[in-house]
Amino acid sequence: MALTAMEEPIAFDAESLLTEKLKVLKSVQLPENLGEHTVRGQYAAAWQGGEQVLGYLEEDGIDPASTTDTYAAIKVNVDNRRWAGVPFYLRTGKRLGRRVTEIAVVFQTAPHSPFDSTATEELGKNAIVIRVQPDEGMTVRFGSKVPGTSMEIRDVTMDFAYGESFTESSPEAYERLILDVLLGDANLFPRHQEVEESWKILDPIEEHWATHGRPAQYASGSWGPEEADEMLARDGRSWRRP
Amino acid sequence: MKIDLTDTTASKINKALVQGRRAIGTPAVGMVLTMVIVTDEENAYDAIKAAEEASHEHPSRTLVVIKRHARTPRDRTNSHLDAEVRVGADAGTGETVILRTYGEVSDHADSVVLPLLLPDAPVVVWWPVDAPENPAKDPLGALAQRRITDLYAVENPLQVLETRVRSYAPGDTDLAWTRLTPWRSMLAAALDQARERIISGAVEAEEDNPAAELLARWLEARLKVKIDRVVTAGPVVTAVRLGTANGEVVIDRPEGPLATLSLPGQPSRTLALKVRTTSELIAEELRRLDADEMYAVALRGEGTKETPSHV
Repeated sequence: MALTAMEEPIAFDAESLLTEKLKVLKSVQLPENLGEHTVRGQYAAAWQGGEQVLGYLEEDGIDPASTTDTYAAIKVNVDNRRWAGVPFYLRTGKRLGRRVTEIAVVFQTAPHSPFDSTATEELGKNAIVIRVQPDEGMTVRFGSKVPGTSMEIRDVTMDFAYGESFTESSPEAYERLILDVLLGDANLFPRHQEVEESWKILDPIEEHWATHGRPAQYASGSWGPEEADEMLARDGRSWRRP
Repeated sequence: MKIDLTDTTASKINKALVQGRRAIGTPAVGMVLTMVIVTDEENAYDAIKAAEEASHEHPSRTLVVIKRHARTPRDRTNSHLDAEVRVGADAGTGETVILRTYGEVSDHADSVVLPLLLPDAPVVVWWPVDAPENPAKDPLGALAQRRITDLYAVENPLQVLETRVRSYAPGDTDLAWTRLTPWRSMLAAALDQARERIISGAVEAEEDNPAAELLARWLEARLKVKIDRVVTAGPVVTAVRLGTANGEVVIDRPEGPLATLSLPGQPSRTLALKVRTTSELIAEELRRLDADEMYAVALRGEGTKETPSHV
């Protein structure tokens, strides 16, 4: 999140990156009502990708009364001039539909649309999706008129994939980290200040969770508990399908 | 190119898709939707062929779910998933994954399909045969924006039509309805010329033809007159007659691709009105992916006031 929201660093070295990231992390504001804007969950027994899998509480060596979460979704705001009024939704979890890491920047709809509602019925929101893993690359999503005589606008995508433009495959994330350790390059490593700031954001949420309720159960292989969908529905949004 | 995977999982299939795309080198295809076909081994070949042809108009990822039934009880308990991944020239303009499910996994096919859907893109489910009673409530149907069924492929179409009326949810559609599009546009154009009040009407078709029933209901809903159903030898819908004070507006298609349009006080003329192939129907159906409100009106058949959802 810090990398997405930070301003341009003055140079591409660890020091400048840290400065910018710290600024973002320090300006993060949590929503007032944590119960409404955070969700945690535990995976339950179900079918995932064609295999039957156990629920978290049924796994070997797990206390059946455990409240350890395997899914979390939170909303944060970055309280600075650039990001005022832009909510950041973060979610992560185990045993979801598939293994994927993505950053999606979803744009607002245009303030004025010259098209009538039938023409734009199938038009979603424009977005830039950065695929961190797997199939590293980027997708730009926007509306285009469907060829033909009728006025109709539909979502299309423009795609860039590393694997296609560079046939050399990029190294695994940890290969790269180990190389950086050997070279003493700290670009990709969080400093202790960053870690501390990050925990400052998460601590109130952890405390809230420790005293309120239990993790919601979600079926393994799904995209998270219903509560997470409700959390976004309250803001008039919905999660995109990765 | 084809990649065969036996006893596999959705994540291995996803890897194979990426691998296949890289292997063929030029995969710059912006696929616009995911098409899920749920069928059996008998109908799979025709359905895949139709979907591949339709993919020339709508590049898509096609997921074919084939439920296989084992003959012996021992095999029936053995649950596994086989997949065939086709990319490039073998798969129209998109990607095709054929999923064969055995045993218990057949009841949880949605768990295999969900990770294979294209990100963000709309999902269409098509049952060439054996559509579920309530398509919107089916686990696979629930993933989709658009659910395509086919009343031509059921034993007792008019009875099934009634259950479709009851289970209708926005996004449902039927190929029997899609088959009527040329008829509907010809009729609408004919009435633009005739400009008279319709006082009676009749739809002539072979026995138990669901499209004819839908056409009659649509006319009743829109014209607010009683439409007679006349049984002929077919094939499919053969004629529509609309009576006005000055004579009849008739579109007559006894056979073949040519129909005759007769308007009162005008010479009759011929129209092209051919029975289209499944791939053409599917391609038409994929052109718009929002709820088909007219289909809902025609299903219910009564002259209900239109309440378009987008106003």
